[in-house]
Amino acid sequence: MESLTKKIVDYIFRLVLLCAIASAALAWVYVETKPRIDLEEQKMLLAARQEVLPQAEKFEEESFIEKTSTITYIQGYAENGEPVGKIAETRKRGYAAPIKVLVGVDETNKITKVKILDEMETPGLGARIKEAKFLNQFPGKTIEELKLKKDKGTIDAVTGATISSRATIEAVKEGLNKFSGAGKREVSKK
Amino acid sequence: MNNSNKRSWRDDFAFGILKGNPVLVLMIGLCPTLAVSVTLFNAVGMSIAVAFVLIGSNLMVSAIRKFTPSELRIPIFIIVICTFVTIADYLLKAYSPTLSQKLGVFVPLIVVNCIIIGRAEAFAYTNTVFSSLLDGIGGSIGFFLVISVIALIREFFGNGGIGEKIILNKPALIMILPPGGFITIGTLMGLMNYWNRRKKTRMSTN
Repeated sequence: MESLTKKIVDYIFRLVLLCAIASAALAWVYVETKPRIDLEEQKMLLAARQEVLPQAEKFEEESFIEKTSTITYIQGYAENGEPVGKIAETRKRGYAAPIKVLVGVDETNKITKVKILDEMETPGLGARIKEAKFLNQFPGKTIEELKLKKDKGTIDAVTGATISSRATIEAVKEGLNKFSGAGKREVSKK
Repeated sequence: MNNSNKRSWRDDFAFGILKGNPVLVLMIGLCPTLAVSVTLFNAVGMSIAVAFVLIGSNLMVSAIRKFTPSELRIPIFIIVICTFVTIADYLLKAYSPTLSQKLGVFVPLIVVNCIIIGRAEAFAYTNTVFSSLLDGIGGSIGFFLVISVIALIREFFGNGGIGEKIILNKPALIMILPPGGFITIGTLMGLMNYWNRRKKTRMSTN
């Protein structure tokens, strides 16, 4: 009986020791890589924002028009501080996981560009929503035109990926909805 | 099992490449192989991540094998593997964000990749650090070769070309879908078995 207790204590000691060493190693790697990871993420986000709203130079924290759990609205400014457009960051459930979409609109609420920020769709099928051939159909379209051709709209779906295409369109529309009513309640904090 | 003094270091190294190829012969790690082998880029990225974890965990498991009682070996293997996988995930995110985004969930899922725990259990736990290092390198090369060949076939026929270069106009979509993965892997396994069997019969007739 005593030897069993001894064994258990010994095993617990070994596991705790190993876990402590592993956690220490992980903590060190985490601290070392965290700043770089954050930097890369920010760089990616800024690059993405600049891509959908090329005329804007600055997107500052205080330029959030509104932030909800699923949509973030960002005001873009030119270098001289002039507001030049807005960005909506929306999310809609795709085939596998939420598709994160960035929609840029100019000051007249016309779509400048649409970009997929994040998706987990099937590579080669749904993931093709990232390709220019699909996304270039969006700029300049009105909200009524934003529908798949098979839903009597003007957008060609990605072959074999109706669900992913539809989710992208829905996300874009969700972002636009706010802007089309933006004349009524301008919340820009300038 | 062979005795370690009868085996040369070349055998340790070469085992994982052909004779004990993780995917085609041992048939372990099939799940990530199927899922990631859609494009060559992903396959190469995945091989690098798997190599890092496999070599790291082989080294560690064999280094602490005297400290590991046999009842505790599975939890200990898992702790070691998880640590290496998490490190690999952080490093990828920090130094290769594009690759990290493409591989997505498959990097954390290396934890449950049978290749790694399989080699820890079958080899590293009972062999020296040096042999385990060689076994890890060999296994990584074997995994890299197979997943790259599968990805090459699937991307070429399913996407119409490799990377940005598109050659085929009407690609067979099925090849990048899961069935294409099964077809490719099955065909390669069949070829491998055929080749092995022919070699055996030739040896016995000589």
